Amino acid sequence: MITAGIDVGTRFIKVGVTDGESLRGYACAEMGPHFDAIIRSLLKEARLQAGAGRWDIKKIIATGFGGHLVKKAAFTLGDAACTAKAAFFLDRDIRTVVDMGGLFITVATLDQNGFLETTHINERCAAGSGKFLETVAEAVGVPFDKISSLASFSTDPYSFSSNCAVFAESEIISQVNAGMKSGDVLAGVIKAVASKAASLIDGAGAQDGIALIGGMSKIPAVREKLSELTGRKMLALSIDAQSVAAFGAALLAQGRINRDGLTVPEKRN
Amino acid sequence: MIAAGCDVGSLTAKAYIMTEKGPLASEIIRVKSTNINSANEVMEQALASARLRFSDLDCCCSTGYGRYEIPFARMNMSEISCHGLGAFHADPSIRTVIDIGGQDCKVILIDANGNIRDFIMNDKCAAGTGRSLEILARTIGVKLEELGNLAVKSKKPINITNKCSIFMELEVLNHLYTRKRLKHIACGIADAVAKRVAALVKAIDIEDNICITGGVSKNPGVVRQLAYHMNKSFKSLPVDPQIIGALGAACYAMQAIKTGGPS
Repeated sequence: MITAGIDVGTRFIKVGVTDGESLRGYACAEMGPHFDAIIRSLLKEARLQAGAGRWDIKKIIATGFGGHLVKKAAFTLGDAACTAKAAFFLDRDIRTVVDMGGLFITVATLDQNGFLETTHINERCAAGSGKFLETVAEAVGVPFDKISSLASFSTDPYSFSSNCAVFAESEIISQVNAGMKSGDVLAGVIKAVASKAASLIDGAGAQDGIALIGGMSKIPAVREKLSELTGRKMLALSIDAQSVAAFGAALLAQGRINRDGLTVPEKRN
Repeated sequence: MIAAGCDVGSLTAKAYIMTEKGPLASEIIRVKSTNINSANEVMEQALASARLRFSDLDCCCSTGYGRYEIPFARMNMSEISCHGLGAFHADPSIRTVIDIGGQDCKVILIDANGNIRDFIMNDKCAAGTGRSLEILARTIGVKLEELGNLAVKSKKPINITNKCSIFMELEVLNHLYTRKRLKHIACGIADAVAKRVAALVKAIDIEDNICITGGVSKNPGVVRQLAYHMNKSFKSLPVDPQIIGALGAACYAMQAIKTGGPS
């Protein structure tokens, strides 16, 4: 059976198509006001990649912050449930999933059967979130893929006087005007971002076998800093780090649904 | 005797010129690239409208974020002191000043002589400041100046539950995507900012005759919602509430001249 998962995040929309064995099609685009059209075109792209016809997709599950906006979805699920499902599906040794997305950092812990135990989210404040990094990178005029290489040259990371992601922008602008190097600024932000994630990981009492996923994990410097701060190994999954939640939603769509509208996870031998 | 006050904030710079008889001129501008540029420009404009030159000023006192850098100021005072004295000078019956600026929010208590009794401030988080309002206005595509007027048209503000401005932005977008009426969203934004300020006010014992100063006090939506959340009414000041800080600084400069002050 071909199913699809749509992950409407705070910054990007991700669509994954699966046949229950692997991620067959995947498409991703930036979130915007015309999300309906974006979802439609992404779904088509992912479906064509998977070589599936228009009516082959039997069920769609939506997830993520804007999951409820997806009209085609059978229902929506929390993103932690989806990332947990996908991570455990890809690697049976995973016990913790750290999802560093556009705005939220979610730490989900799993039991040895892959069931979701607890989730910890930075829900109060955007300090140390992806948005924080994005705002600062924008303020110093560095594109997303250059962040890591610039930050790795820094010898003296800047330490922020305020952790507020809103105030960071004006603070950075005045620092750069005063002659601060953009590499130092970015290294400082990466440190702030990683320490936020590290404190969430500590708070969750994470067990080893930590999978680091989400858009921010694509920055190697973030991954390195986080392993340095926690002293743990941050594993990468075999699929695109951004696609994990969409894949998980698609996988969950494979399962049966009981009367209460809850998915019963499939038994795997 | 001519005294001047210069208040360089995070988003605007203000200048106020006065004699012992009364005000001469005042000016408000958006900040320039550096604090020094902002201070020079705003003071030049104020001097021009008072038909004076820099050399005519007997003493100038600076305040605000950039107060240590102002070249022509002979003294500086904290924003807290200046807002307290400024509000007291404008209306001696005031006992509580709520200052909602571009980058912070303060509640200042003053006694019957205009001295600061106590204060509390938030400068760690953008929620409950002008910046938050600015970001959210931009999110819904409404000019900051129009947001307040749009907000007061609504009686049913959307409920924004998040405390962080960036999470608020997301929540507002969500309401925008689900096609809520713009005026209700605008009112919700004003309400969210007011809620954060009200939470700060609760942490201190305020006395009656409350006034609101700072840039956000010009937003009728926030003022209405704040009055609602605090269950109090505000006294309106006879002068522009945004200039109070500079006025207070000018008062300090005037005191300094009278007492022979800093040379």
